[in-house]
Amino acid sequence: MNITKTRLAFQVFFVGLFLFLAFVTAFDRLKGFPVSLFLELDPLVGIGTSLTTHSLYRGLLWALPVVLLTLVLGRVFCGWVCPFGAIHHLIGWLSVRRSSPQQQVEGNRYRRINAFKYYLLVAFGAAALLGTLQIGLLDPIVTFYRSLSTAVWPTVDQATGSIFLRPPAYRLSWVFGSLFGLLLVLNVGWPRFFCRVLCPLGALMGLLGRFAWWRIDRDPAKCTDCDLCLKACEGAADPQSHLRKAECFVCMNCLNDCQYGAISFRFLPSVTREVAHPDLRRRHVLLGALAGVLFYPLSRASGELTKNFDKAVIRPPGSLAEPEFLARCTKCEQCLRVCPTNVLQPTLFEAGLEGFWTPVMNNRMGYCELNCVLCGQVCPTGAIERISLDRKLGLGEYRDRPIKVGTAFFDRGRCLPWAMDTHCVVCEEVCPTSPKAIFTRPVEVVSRNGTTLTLKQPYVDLERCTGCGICEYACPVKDLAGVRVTAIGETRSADRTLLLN
Amino acid sequence: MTDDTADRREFLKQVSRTGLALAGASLGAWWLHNRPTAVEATPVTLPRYDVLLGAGDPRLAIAHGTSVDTMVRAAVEALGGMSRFVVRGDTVLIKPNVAFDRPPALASTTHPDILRAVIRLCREAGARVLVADNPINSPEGAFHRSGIKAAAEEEGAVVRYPRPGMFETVRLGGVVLETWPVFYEPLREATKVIGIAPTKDHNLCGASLTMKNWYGLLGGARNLLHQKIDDVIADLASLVRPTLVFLDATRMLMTNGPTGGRLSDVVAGDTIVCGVDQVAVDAYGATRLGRDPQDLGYLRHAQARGLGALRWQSLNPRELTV
Amino acid sequence: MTPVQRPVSPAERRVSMALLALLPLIALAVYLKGQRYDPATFSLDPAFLDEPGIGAAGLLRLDDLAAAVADAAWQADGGVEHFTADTLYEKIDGRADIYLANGVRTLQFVSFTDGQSFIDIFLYDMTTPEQASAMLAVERPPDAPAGDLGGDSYRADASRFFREGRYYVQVIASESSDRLAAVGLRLAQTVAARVRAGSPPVPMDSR
Repeated sequence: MNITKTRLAFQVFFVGLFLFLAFVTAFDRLKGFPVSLFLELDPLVGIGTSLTTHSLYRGLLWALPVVLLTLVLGRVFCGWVCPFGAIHHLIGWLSVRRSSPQQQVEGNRYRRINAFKYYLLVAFGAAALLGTLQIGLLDPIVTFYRSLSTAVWPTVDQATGSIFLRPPAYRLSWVFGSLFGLLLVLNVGWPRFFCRVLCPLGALMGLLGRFAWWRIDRDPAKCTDCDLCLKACEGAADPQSHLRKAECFVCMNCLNDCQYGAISFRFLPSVTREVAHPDLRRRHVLLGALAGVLFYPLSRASGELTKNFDKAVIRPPGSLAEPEFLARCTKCEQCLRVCPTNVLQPTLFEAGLEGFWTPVMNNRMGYCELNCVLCGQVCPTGAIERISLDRKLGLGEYRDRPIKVGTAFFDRGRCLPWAMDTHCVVCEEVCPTSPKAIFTRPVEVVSRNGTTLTLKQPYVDLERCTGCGICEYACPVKDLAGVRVTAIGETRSADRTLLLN
Repeated sequence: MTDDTADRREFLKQVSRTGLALAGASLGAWWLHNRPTAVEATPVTLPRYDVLLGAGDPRLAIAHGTSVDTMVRAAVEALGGMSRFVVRGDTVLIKPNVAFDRPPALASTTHPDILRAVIRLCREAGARVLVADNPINSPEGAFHRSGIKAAAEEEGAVVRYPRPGMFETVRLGGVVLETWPVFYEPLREATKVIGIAPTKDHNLCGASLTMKNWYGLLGGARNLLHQKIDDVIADLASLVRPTLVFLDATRMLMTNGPTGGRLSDVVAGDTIVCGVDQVAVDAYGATRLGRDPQDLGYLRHAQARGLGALRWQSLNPRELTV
Repeated sequence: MTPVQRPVSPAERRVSMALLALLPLIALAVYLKGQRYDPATFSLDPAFLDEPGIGAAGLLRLDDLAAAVADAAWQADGGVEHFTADTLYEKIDGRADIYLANGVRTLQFVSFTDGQSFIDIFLYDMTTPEQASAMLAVERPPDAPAGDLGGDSYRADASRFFREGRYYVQVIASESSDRLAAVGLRLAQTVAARVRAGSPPVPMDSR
């Protein structure tokens, strides 16, 4: 069995596993499947959250075996496991099949710009040191999950109707889809562009792979300098001269392509024939670090976490307080995917620059189902805690302390019984708490044509309202509802509570 | 110069090809031009699903007891047996209340026990059974947590979930609702329709019983209907003339309806009602909730329109304890 | 990929086989992990929905009570009647005021009769154990002997009054006789046991 065929089998397997896990992340298919597995294996998520929170949450410990493997074998994750990388590999391969061997060789030469991913990593790392997690903007596993959830599945469902009962809609879906498409298309003409130039996880792997005990080695005695080993070199790692250890994906293609048996995978070959360190310019490293360091104070200075917090930032139930949330949220949008009512949506800048693409509730699109705690089940980093139903509803040991994500307020100028002499109270009907958090008071009104109506006018019971938003969702005044939920009163924030208790 | 034969053949080929294109373009444009520009959906009219009964035939049965299966069988037997209503080869649509994502003990959805009993009777009569509803909460969660999905599938019925595209505009011919989008897909196949409703308090209309149960077949912006809720519920009785309706008063949601949420909102009623007259069944059910049927606006409207008997006693109900 | 020209060494073959063998193992592990999950995440045990104790439903079960009496002469007179705080006065008239002042939520009532005498059971949901105790104290005559039901209870002739959890229960006999006292005791014990058991309403058709 050829080792490159084995590698291909691994890539196919892990892409299939990734798609399967992303597919079953839904109420009726989830069961106990480890849908966050790839995010947990991802050392960038593990190390990033370690820097921001000084802890390693639950399943993120899985990053350790991956780190250990990389330390010993180099960037096998990139070549054998990473599903995003495998997709790039596929498209790159498809696009160069008809090119001549010489054109393929030229396409895989190392370029200076390949060092850019290290500067990105430095920027993300510096920001993380200060407590803000932005790796999710470009992390490959996160990007793949996010693109599947917000763009790919809805597109597939529109074509086949096979994925959703009630197809969800996601704000910015076109952005995520376009970015995904763009990154894939860039492989045409520049194989594994994302992996070589942009991937911060790859950069991290490159740094770790410096110490690997095994690597690709070129025997100068057998080598004829034909450069054919570059023909299918995934990492652009210069196997034809001094192997760049930090770039090599251990894909083993060079073993196949060498006609003279000069390439081998060896244990501790001579260090004179390798380049262990990534090729970095100190000036650019400093610039990246500076960008990362400045990001934190500049984004915090805008005040979205303190005085100017946006009323629309209604976080999923179980979310930590905002600074801790932002230290953990990778913007993977798993919570969006699993949410059965489509209420969770990505932000633009409502949660500040830091909160870009993090999840908030939009009660026009859905509401928080009372008996559901799925978002916390799938959150890989604990930005949304894995709460029990008892904790959410305020039962058992949490008696009378339910989780509130916000509070509903009636807009008496738009609510039909308040402003329009018209019967309604759908809000009261669907309010799920017992006793209901919406109650009515009857009021006699003489309508314009002289008839006397007894209207039921709704009120919010502040103590009972959990901010679930089904009232806003069900309100017939759909464009700007007669009752709307805002973030005040959320129990996760000590400084945003409403009632004195 | 090429010879004349080739030129003529070539000439004919050219002429005919262009001629076809000319004809095709003209005909196509003419046809498109004659099509109506605004396509109005032709509303569907539902057939009546009720069975013809004789003047002396029983129309209302009230069974008291503690075993749901026994009570259901006894009540149906008192009406003449299920074969009076469902025959071999029928496709029966059973419409339970699966509006909310709640466990059965909270009595805000139809209890799986009564669904099982009715499915069994239908299948014993030789019918195929469909179970469908358009929940307010998310369908996967509602069908699962209410126990309806498991009960239906275990008894050999097919569950139909609502999806966009399964709704059609249906003519109700009601006072408020002339037409409305309805979850039509399961109705398309149904030859008989049976409703099974829980007994629930409801702040707006007073009670949620067998007539309100048909609300779950509605699609569209059904949150608008609360503006004239009493007339709309009466309209629902003209939307669906069911074969049978069951009212499950073994557990009754006395307060905080229609969603409930605590066990203390629920009270035991030890009764199952079965009848062909939705108005009469609802009138009886109202009394079990401690209300006077005359106080319920929707019942008065339905009575006034001749949709059923508000004075349920006048139907000479068969009342039995099992 | 270009067709392989290179010969595959035995070592490479062994390594490849070993690595490929990992894949089905990973798939199996993922599958097995998928079958192990807490069903509580996807459903909700109604027992958690209320205070320690049970909901009002199922407390007065005709079959339980009839079985407890175990005497064919005694039958339930009508069904179980239910009243909320708003409709309480329909059953107990002016006495409703004091119950309302003590936070009553619901009343369930059933009467057993043997044709001549009757025993009425009043089951009041007083919202909290403290308020149930308060009701018990309010209606208690100063010289009433302690009940034979343990805890918070007392007897008055053949009638019994007790508190269990947040419920205040009266088992009132129409006359004072040993026979009625005995039947009343069995009824009271059954109600007390069910309230204490803390289980949700028993599903009608037990599986």
